[in-house]
Amino acid sequence: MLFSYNWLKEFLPDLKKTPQEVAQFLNQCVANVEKIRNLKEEIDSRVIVGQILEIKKHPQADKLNLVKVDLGNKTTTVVCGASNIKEGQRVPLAQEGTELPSGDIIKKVKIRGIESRGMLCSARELGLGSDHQGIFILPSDAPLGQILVKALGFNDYLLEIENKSITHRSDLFNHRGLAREIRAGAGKNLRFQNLKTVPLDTCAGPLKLDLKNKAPDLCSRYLAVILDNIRIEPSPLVMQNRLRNLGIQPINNVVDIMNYVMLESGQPLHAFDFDKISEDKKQAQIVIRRAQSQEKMVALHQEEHVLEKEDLVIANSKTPLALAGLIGGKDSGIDSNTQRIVIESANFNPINLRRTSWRLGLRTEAVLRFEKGLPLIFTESGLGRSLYLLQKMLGARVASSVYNFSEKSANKKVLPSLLFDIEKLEKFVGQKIPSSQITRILEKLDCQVTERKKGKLLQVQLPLHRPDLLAFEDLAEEVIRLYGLEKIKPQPIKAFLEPTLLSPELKLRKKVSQVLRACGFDEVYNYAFTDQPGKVKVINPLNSNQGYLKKSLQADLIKNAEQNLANFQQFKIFEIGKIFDPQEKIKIGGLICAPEKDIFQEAKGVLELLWEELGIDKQKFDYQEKGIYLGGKKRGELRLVSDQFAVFEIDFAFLIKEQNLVKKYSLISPYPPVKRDLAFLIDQKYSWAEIFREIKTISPLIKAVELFDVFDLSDHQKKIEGQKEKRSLAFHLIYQSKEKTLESKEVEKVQKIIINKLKQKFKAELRNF
Amino acid sequence: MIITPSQIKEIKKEAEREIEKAQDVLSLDNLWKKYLGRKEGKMNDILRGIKDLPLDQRPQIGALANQVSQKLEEKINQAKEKISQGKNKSSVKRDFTLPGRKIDLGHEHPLTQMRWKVAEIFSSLGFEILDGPEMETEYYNFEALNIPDGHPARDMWDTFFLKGFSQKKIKTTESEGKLLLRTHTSPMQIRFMEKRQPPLRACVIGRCFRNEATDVSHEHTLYQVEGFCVDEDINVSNLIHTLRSFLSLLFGQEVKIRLRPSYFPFTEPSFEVDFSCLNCGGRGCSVCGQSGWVEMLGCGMIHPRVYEAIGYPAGKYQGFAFGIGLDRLLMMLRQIDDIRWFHSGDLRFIRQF
Ligand SMILES: [Zn+2]
Repeated sequence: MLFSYNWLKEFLPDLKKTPQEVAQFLNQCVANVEKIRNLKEEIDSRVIVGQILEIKKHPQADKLNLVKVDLGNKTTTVVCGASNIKEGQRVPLAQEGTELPSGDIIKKVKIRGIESRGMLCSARELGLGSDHQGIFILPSDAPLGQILVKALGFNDYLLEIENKSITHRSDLFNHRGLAREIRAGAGKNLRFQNLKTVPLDTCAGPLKLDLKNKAPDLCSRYLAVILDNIRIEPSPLVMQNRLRNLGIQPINNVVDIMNYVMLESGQPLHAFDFDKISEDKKQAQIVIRRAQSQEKMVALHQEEHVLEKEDLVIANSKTPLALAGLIGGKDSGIDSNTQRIVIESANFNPINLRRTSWRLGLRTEAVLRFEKGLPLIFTESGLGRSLYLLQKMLGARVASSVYNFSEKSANKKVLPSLLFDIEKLEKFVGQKIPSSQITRILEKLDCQVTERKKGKLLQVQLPLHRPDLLAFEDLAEEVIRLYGLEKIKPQPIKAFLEPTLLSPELKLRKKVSQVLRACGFDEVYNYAFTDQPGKVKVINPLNSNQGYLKKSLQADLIKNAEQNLANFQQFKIFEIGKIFDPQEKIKIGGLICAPEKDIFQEAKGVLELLWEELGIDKQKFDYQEKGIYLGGKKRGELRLVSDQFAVFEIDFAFLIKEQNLVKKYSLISPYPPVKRDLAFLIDQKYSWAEIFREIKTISPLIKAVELFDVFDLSDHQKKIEGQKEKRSLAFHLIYQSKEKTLESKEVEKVQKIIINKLKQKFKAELRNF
Repeated sequence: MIITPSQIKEIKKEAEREIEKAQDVLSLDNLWKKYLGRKEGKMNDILRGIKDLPLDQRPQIGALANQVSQKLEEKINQAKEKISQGKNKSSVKRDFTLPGRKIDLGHEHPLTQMRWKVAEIFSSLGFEILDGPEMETEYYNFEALNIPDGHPARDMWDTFFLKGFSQKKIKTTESEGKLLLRTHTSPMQIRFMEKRQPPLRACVIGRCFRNEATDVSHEHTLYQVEGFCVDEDINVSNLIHTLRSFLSLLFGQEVKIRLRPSYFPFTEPSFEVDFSCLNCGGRGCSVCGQSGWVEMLGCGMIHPRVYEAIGYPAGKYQGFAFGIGLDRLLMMLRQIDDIRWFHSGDLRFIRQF
């Protein structure tokens, strides 16, 4: 929210702090100030107030006009295409050399043969809001020839406070509230200028309202009063400027006062045209009720809203007049003929209002405040203030008494008091704050404080504008922030320290990453989203490519690889990421890209290394086309995507169970190993795993069987050797005994058994090297 | 054939003499054949003869013969190496500026490195390291954290809502509300405390999601560190101390911090934390927007309603919680220009870390 420094100063006439100092205090003790804007610097001083003397058609262009502008001491002619201008209006003129907020510089130009010296500007071109409908028409009392910045009252600073940092402080969304905070932070007692208001109990008059609240749960308080002698006009320049600077478009004096009071004291108000809503010109009916399902209401800006049962409307006996707290109806609002008005000052249920507001896309300044839960007291002060301004500025006259609906619970004249435990505060902060200081801080916040139990407890009577203070922690916050957070000394936690070890999951993550990186894999991160239909759908995706949560890591790894091919010929990447199937699971994904290498075998080698490092017997895995199995369960996949890429994707969770990080030592035999080589031609239908198992079972002396050469016979060889569907397998056999040095006789005996067994079982043919 | 140990030693001596005399690789190859070769090698003859020895002599002679064979093999290799090195030395001068052979080691993603770094620090401070589910329920992500439906604080988090095709399999009950992608790591506060009783300290490091368009500094997928500590008397000064220790350990130097009041629904009071800019030492520069301070972290004392949701007895416990955006922290530390690099999969980026 934007705050005007000058406006804050109206509440605090003796404030000596500069805007920067105010911002610094707010930052340290109240809320986050995002920006300080010096308005004077925002618009080039070469933009001045001019008056349109004459509008003529451009001789060479239908849509352009030649506009003669009086600048006070001289006149100038500019070419202008806007259609909203009339002779006699006051408008901003950017003279030659002006730098607009967009960075464009106004130069003398010829437009279709006619010289144009300067430019008439729209509000948006000047950086004043979004209005780009036409030229920014200034109030008729804007001084001719004056620098626009001055005419618009730009001799001010704006403080921009981050809304979310005051979500819990509904009392701060207005200048009076923030001024109170600044006063509380001042060293000595600063004078506070209270607002002039009309006491509500003095209101009386002949006109009548028939006020019925049929939804007290959604509207706990509703005040309304009728005024006559209204003459609708533009409001004075000072008020218009203030509204515009703070982001609100001026409309007319009545509507502007409603908005002005909201910015000033925090209560959103609404004005109805009494004659439009009343039936007999003497009395109007106001019914606060839930909408009927599918009931329609046309709002101020002609937009039709279809309502639901829980939406709250302000209606008369026939039709909704307004969507409570959100927007007025087309047929009940103020227009230039309005003579009598009804002012509404109410407190609506924040949650309900917020729901309607989001559903209908109506995020107005009023909702922004209502949804935070406004102090009930604001309804009274806001109404009283608006009456004062209406009387003073318009000469309006109160024409009825104030009609007041107050739900029982909302009718309290005082808020409950809290007992504040000073020792508890010491325990909460970690150090003592003197009770005199606590009392002073709370009093500065308009609390009434009395000591109880010899000063151990403080009885705190809360001010009516602070309904957010409900519990010990809330008061503690107030004390701590105004005491000064910088005064709290850091102290280490004193507690029993349990040893904390990394969880098995994190340890495994670390291990897997180590192994893969040692194999040259770089780690990538990918999103959880995919366009591939999966088991979990995103109801509100950012775009249609992210409509689901992924159930495999592979697609993104392949995409990563394709993109990296632009810069790298070979690489390996991995990701330890989540998939949603629909349960959330961690997977280890990897991809190898290496031209001219058997990438499939390489990827399998990586996995086998991983199993070995995790202490899982690699022989337990069964590799099939469909997946990698362990104990009959699918635990992953390994496949060639193309000649270029091999990918794998492995379950993570089962590794935690299967891993065996305690490595076993086996006795190293003192007797020398004997190495022999064998090569066979074997039908391709027999897998290496079968052959391997067969060999291993033959003798305990076979310590290792290491395949070192595999080739499928070329067509040529097949013809010569008459061998079809066969391949050659060559392997080393390592023999070793733990008891003795092996004799070659013993080795040869086993070799023979192997040869025979393979011949018999697999029809294997022994090959000579 | 009779073989004695001295016989073997004799062969060894003879061989060693000859190896020493040899001047080139070819003569060394010939020596290998003479002593170790499979067909006429003297040592092989001996090994073959062992089987004819009396049983009781076999182990001793066998072991000795093997030992000598190995020794000779070693000697021959050493001699060969000496000769080839000598050649290099005499003919070509080694260019010490030539690059070493390229050895590839994979790179850990910078965010992973950061996660480990943070985990290491909090482990050392006695915090358990957790992650937790990314698919969450409205209850854990919002309600239990004192962000009821309809509360304006919900606007702080743009949320991705989910529909699982077999809801049953994703454990969620009617009362836990809609399924969503967690918008922060805070749901783990609830999940962890539901299982455990104070005293406790834990640190959650994990992926979160915000339904907002991406640009140079905004991501819909981000990483957060969440820490919390609860006991009967954990206080604000402990919070400040813990954060200062963490940041100082992370940056490897003493860091000044400053707290400012803020608002988060699950803490009361809530603070924003700034630390003194490391780039300029607090004098003001472009990194800190000339203020001398860098805003990095949100924290506060855990709200009593959070304890209430967990079921802890009212008023018994005090504790703090804090959260940091890991991506933003890393971007600041490494001066990374665009947050989208993290999920680009681009090795030109990843291999720099
Ligand atoms: Zn700096």
